[in-house]
Amino acid sequence: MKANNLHKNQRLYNKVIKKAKNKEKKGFYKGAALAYIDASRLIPQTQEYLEEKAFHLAKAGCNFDESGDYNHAKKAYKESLHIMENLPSKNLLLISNTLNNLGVVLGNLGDYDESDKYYNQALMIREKLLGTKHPDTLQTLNNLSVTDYYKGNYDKSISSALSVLKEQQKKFNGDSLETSLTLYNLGNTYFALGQYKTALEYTENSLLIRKRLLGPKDVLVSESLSIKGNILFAIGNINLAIECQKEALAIKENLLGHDHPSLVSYLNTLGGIYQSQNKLEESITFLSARSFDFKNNFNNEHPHAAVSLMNLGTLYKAKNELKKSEEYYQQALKIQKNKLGSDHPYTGMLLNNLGELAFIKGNNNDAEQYFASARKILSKSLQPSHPYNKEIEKNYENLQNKVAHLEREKLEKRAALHKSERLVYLGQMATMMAHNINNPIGIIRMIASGALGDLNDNLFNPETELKPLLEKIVLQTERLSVMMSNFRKFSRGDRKQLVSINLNDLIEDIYQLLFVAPYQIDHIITIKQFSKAPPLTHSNEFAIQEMLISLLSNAREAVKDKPIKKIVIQTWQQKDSVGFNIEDSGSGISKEQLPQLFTPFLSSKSEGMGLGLYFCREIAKDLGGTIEYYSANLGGAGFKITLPIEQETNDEL
Amino acid sequence: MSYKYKLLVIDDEQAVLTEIKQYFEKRDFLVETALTGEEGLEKLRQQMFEVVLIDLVMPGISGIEVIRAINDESISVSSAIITGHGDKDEAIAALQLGAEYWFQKGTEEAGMPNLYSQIIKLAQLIPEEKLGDFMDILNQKDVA
Repeated sequence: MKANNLHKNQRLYNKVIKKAKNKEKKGFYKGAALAYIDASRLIPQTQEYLEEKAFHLAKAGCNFDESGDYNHAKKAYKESLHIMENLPSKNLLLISNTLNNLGVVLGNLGDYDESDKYYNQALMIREKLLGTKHPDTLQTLNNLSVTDYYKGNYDKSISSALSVLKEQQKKFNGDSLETSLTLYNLGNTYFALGQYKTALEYTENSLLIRKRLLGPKDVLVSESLSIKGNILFAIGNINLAIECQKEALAIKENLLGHDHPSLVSYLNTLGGIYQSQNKLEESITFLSARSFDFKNNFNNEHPHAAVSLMNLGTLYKAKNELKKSEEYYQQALKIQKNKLGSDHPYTGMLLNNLGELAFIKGNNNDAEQYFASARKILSKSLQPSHPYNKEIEKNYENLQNKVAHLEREKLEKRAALHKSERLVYLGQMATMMAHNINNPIGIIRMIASGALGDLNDNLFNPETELKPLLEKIVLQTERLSVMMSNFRKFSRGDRKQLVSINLNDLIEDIYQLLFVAPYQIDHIITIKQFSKAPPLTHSNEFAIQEMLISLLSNAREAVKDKPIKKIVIQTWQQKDSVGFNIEDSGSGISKEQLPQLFTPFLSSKSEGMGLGLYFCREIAKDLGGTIEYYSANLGGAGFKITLPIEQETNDEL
Repeated sequence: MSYKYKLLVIDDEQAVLTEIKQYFEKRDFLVETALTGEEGLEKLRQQMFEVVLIDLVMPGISGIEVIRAINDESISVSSAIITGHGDKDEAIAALQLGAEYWFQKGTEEAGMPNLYSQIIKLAQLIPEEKLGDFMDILNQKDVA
């Protein structure tokens, strides 16, 4: 069909075809593919040449596939298929070949469902025209079992491979290349299942057949050797594993040149073995030096280069050089997404690895994002029982446990801090209480010692003086016991119980209990501006008391050594909130300190731990309110605490 | 009612005032009380007292300020201070300003009899100003 149908581009066409074949032979698959595309374009768009056009497109697809450019391969095959299916006289066997090849490419792309679709179409044609036991039919069946292997449907893959094997052995007496391929696939699947003994048996069988039929130095022999090396590595026979891998590598290098893409996976495996032996440096040197040749040859774009980069990332992860590790993973991810798409299981695994890296670094948010994307991809593209899915689920669970643990730890830490801060308060309160307690005790002492003096001097008249004296003592002890019970209530108060609180009363109580005496000692002038309408909130009185103590103590500290010592306490009520403000005439908070005002452990005071304002904010938050700082009119600090107003309860209605 | 000495007590706690007043009134004192520093100063300006007993910690004008005013206005009176727990620095400041006795609530010797004996001692002191008056009277007698 070529010789006698000269068209106007015939010479150029011949040149292009020659170029394509040459490149194909040398393993420059991409160049070959492009040349075949060129050739197909040089062919006129007339009926008589269409079959030839389809033929070259299929060749282009084949070469794109070899070059690792699966997307273009898919396109070329589909175009070829489209032409062939629309020819008046359809060559169904040729169509079935292309369908089968398209299935392979889609499998390489990780699009296993699509891949299955085309395999099944090919299978239908082949079964019908060639019969169920024809080698080509069995090849497609074999391909379907490989897809099942990739999907992680290992049992299904094995059962169909076994039935193919049975037919093949019947037909070829167990000695054909087809049989060796099925044996090879079975070895792979059992390897994936972790059944290494069985895997080794099948692989050895495929190796024997291939050696016998092809000689010891064939590409297929090399591939069987490589799998054998993998299995040996898995069962711990490291030295033999390395030997196998090196032999496999040498064969391919010899036949295909040292920069053929299919070598990358061997190098990766060898690198992986060195890595497992903790020979990290060797492994890295090995991988970097060798695999980057391929990376360069394929413009950084071959999926196998992505595997190298991923392995390098894993190596650096093992070396704890996390930054480098991430760089390699990211490079791999870029290629992976570009070449195999965002839905490919390997992309999922890369995201998983990046997640693991973020997890180690403690970037839990990043880890969560990576794991979530990985999970989405892997759960969609692989069965739940697939090892990748199990791994990502495990990682995801670990992350969640860690996050939950951190959350719990944070709460526990906060509780512990709060406890120690409250101890500081109790200490401060005790000191302040001492001033108040001194008064009634002093009075009782005066009453008693006065009466004693009167008795000694015969000036005591029991009939008129005893009763009022005792009454006075009782009054003072009652005063004391009220103070003590307030103190106890505060120190042991239930922080969860919510009651109706009038802020005016609460503030007055705490002021009288703790601050009257200390403020007097320091000559602090307190100005109370209480809201006329009672500011009512449904809240926890002890929590509010704690805020008050903290803020009133801070205010005292702030004005103590100032010429003007004024503290203003205001309460207020608005439409849907109530609150109180505490202002002082101190120096206020500087602009520099302001952003860290509520940060723990940044106290400017000598005593305490700098947790007061931090807990004020936490308490306000817990109570559904806020605390804000403002510059007070008095010149010092102002704090505005806003709490939700008490809702009128309509429970009865 | 006859009395030997006149005492002013300034304290913001009514119960304290009541106790001291009652105790000293039984013992030849005329006792006036004031609940604030301002009120006490006003009484000091208008009446003569042998002794003033001042609580250091009060709202408004503090005890220290009362003593300072006594000095500034040259009011002739002996002063004693009452302090609670932990007001040592204030008390020392007051003594340096001229207070003659420091009565600390809550200590062993802080009983009423002890306070009485100290106040009596202070009441019997003749302040410098009074001494001057006394000398004038003596001199006049000599002249006559």
